[in-house]
Amino acid sequence: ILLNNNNNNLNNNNNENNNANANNSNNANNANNANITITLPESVNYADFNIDQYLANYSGVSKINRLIYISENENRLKNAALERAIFEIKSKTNNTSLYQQLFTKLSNSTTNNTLDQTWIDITDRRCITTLDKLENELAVHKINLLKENIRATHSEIGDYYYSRGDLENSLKAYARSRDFCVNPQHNLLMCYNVARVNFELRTFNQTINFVSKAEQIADAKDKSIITKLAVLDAISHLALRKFTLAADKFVKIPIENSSLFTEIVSINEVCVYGTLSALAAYDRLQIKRKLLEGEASKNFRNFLEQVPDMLELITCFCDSKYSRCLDILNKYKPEFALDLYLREHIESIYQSIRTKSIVQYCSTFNALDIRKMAIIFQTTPENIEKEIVDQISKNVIRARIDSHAKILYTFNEDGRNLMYQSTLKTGENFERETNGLLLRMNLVMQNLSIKIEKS
Amino acid sequence: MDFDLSTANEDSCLSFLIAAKNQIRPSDFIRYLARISQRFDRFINIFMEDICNAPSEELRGAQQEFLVICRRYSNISCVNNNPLIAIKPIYTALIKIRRTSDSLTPLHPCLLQLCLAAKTYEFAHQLLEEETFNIKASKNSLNIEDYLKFCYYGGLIYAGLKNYQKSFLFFSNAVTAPATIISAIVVESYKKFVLLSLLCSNSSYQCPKFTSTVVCRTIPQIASAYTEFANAYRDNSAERMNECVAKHLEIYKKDNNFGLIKQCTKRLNLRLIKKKTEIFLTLSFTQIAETLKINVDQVESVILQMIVSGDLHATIDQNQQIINFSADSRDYNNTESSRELENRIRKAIQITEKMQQLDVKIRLDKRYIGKQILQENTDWGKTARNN
Repeated sequence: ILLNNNNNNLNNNNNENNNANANNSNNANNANNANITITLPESVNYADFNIDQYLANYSGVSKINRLIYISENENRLKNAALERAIFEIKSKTNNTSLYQQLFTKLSNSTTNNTLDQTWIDITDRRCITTLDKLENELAVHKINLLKENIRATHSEIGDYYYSRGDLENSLKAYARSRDFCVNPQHNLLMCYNVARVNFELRTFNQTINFVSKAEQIADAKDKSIITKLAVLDAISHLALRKFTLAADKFVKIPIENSSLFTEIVSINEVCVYGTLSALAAYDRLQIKRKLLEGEASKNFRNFLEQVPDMLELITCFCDSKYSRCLDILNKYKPEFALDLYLREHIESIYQSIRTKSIVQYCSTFNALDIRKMAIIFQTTPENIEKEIVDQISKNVIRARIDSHAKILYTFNEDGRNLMYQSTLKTGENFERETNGLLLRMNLVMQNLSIKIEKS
Repeated sequence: MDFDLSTANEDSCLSFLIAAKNQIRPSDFIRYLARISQRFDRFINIFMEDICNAPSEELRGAQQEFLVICRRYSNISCVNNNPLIAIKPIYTALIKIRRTSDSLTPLHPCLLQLCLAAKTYEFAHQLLEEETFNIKASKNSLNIEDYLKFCYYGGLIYAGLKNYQKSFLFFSNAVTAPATIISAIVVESYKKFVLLSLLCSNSSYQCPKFTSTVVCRTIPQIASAYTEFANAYRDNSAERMNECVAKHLEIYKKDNNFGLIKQCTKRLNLRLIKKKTEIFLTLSFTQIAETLKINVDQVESVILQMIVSGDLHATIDQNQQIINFSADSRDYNNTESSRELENRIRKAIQITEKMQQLDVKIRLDKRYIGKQILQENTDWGKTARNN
């Protein structure tokens, strides 16, 4: 998706090709995700999408995860993604079960890869011996009651399972090491490991849990782990749709240690996620203060400089250049749709950004022409009218539409009239209710009630 | 005078009564008549006029029996289809028997029943306008059935006179009467209560907080056809409403509520348009036709009706085929409004005073004080034991 500065030209080239081949239908991403339909602009053509460039920023497990995600969700890229995933798995991990799984998926299509059974066997055997060795060590240490060694072995077992792709056991092993943690460094490492595995399992609530535990460890000194935890935290909030919290956390991630967390995400990713959550959650003033100017934003501005498009997006939003904003968003939409953490939320984020722009736009005018507005927001007058009506009925925009002349007028309720009306109404209600109550009390006191007669 | 009812036949009873009328006190006569009319009720018609001319002390002296006679009389009149004749005697009886002008007697519902049957709403209206909510059950021999009937008939009459607010009030009184079991009158009142709450658009059709739990829980399920309808109305959904009507048409007709249902459907259109006025300044005919789901040609007449009846403030532009909504230009900046406000405040103060009086009365009541002392004693006992 987001290339480094060096590759910017290639990126532009890519997109021009996309725009040129305007013959593919949109909306093909219905595959495995339950009920998530993303409307892509008409001209998306993934045939020219260069997977390798896209993945150049990632390493290790996150690369594999992303490849698998792409293969599940985008049929046109499925084979390419699977092939590369298989390659990665073979060279970097011991995850034979996943290897076999992916191979069965791939063999449903036409490629020439053959299952490397020998690699599977060798790796399996190697792993079994490793596991045996580790478990023996553990038994020995337990007999000798060496706390530090027990902890270290549990941790290693966790690592082992992680590389095998058995996340549940990995989690269990890391959790067991918890009891043997002595100093803050151990605690920190343990929290980090557990958070990382939970993150992979996509149980984001647990991730957040452990990150907050780690934050409470006094004396935590390992900067790299702290940064990694911050990143996990921010992305978990994003995945749970808590955009305000996510934006807060993204803005605070320090850029100095950025090379340390490439295993999870890339710098560009942080920038993109942060921008999107900020746009979805903050209002204009907050965006300006936290992301563009002022003391608080110095950190994040460094991120923004890495991806100038995002910087432009934010400045345009603050400067009310909405069509440029929407253009940039549309340009990146196909790429966002492939993203592991964004895909489920991309529609709602885009919708909320669009609604915010509309509301902002309307609030600046006393009377505005709906037709002009429709052009800016790249839609027809009828559609924009519908969106405005939506916002008016939710009382977000205070205005009235002259549907015939297609003009929007701001409208201020007369506060005094409203107050009079509500006062009179309250008086009426009070009278009615109290009278009803008094009457009822009277009846009860006289023993008049509908009951079974005792004759 | 001795008389053996068990052996008498109709003629002998009649001659006895004629003879007795002039010889004995009216109160005794009433007692005899009550016993005899149990078997031969057509005698009541003959003697009613005379009884009602008797002085009120006599009537009060034989109050129970007199009320029995009156109730029978009104029932017979309704059954025999000449309610109009009965109205005058019952009315005179009512005036004589009630102790203060605002107390409720069992004759009130009788009279209302007769008026309804005779369709003379105006007369009943007069009666209802004298706010009769001073209820002293024992003095007036009032029972709960009378009260419920009064509320129900009163509600019906006001609905017939198209005074929906008052009608709603009466039905809600019937629904909120204290109860431990369900009564048919309350069920019918509830059905109308729901429909009228839709017509007086500012009331909710949920039972008030102080309704008996028995009513709250069971009756909405019994009258589910109506709550469904009300839900559809509240959600401004014309299709669901029409669906509901089609489904439960038999029920509505059987309960004689179909007229109210029709009124509600008409009102829904108004509601839909009013919602639009909050968003739009002008709407074209086609857009309105879409909202109300009618033909474009009908739009003009429908809107015209709404404007004429004062529910909608708008102007119709025929050339361009649009409707211009104007804001509700009621200006509260005048003496009329301030007077209205003062009135409301005064009423609220009156009610609060009534409540305070009631509060004082209860505090001084023997039973309450007794309970207080008991409570204190037990509390004292507890604290004494703890120390």
